[in-house]
Amino acid sequence: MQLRVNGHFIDVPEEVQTVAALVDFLALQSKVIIVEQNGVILQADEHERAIQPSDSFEIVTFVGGG
Amino acid sequence: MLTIGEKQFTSRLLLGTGKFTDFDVQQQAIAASETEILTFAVRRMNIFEPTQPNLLEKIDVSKYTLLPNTAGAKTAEEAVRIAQLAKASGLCDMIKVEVIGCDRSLLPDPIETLKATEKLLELGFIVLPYTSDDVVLARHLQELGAHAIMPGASPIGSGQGVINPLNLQFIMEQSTVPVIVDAGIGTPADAAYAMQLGADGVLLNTAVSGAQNPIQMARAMKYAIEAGRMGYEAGAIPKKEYGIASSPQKGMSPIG
Repeated sequence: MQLRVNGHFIDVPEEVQTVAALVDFLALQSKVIIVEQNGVILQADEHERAIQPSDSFEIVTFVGGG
Repeated sequence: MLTIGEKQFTSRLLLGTGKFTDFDVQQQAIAASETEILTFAVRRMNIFEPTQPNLLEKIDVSKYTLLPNTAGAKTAEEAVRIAQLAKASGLCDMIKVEVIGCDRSLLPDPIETLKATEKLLELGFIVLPYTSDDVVLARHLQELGAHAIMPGASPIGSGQGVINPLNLQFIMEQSTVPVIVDAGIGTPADAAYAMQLGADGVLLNTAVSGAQNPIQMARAMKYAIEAGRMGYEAGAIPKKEYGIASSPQKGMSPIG
């Protein structure tokens, strides 16, 4: 299934069915991240949401800043 | 004590986490500063380099209040989105509104800052707007319900120090919420001066991260802010035009 993540088109295996699974697939499970799915910001407890082909994600984190 | 919203802080130094060249130095500088509030920016995760280290993995997050900023936003709408992203982390409910209106001076856009502050207050955030030193704008932000007002001392990262002490003082005098002087601080003298004027706190970043010895500078800033605050509370003498002797004028023992 093809998804758009942070502006890149990526292919993920069929078993990646949820946001949490996508986060695992990207090896980000131990990171402080926030996910936006198709323009909807997900709270930390909403990562079990299903994903669909051609969904668009923004995954952000905290970086150094003043 | 510095009170922002319902949170109380012993330290009056808010430290930015940008532009440190080394994680170890950064951690030691944070410790030396004894800050309790750290600012962060929100940016895209590099999904192709998930092993890239992040400061949040290096520090004990429970020891600090995180103050994400909306840096990068040029409109109120963008600032609100960044704030909502930050809050969805579940790690913070405070937000520094930063909406830049001029790429060269990095001065904030007053209109978009006001709009973003209003919207974020509606959404239940603890809102700390970074603003220019405009006295009337500061009053409007306060009237909206901002939890602190953060006027710049001078342009971000410029190290020019306090360039308009009169305006800052007017803002401090009228304000019923904490005034945190944010941006432009270069030296401990600048930070002490801002506190002596009556600031409730100082937010700085480059002054520490860009110093030749960031750890030493972090410590110096801590003492400067404490000294400035103590001086303010102690009540300084009024300035006079001419000299006034501190030694007795009478009782001199003449020669021979």
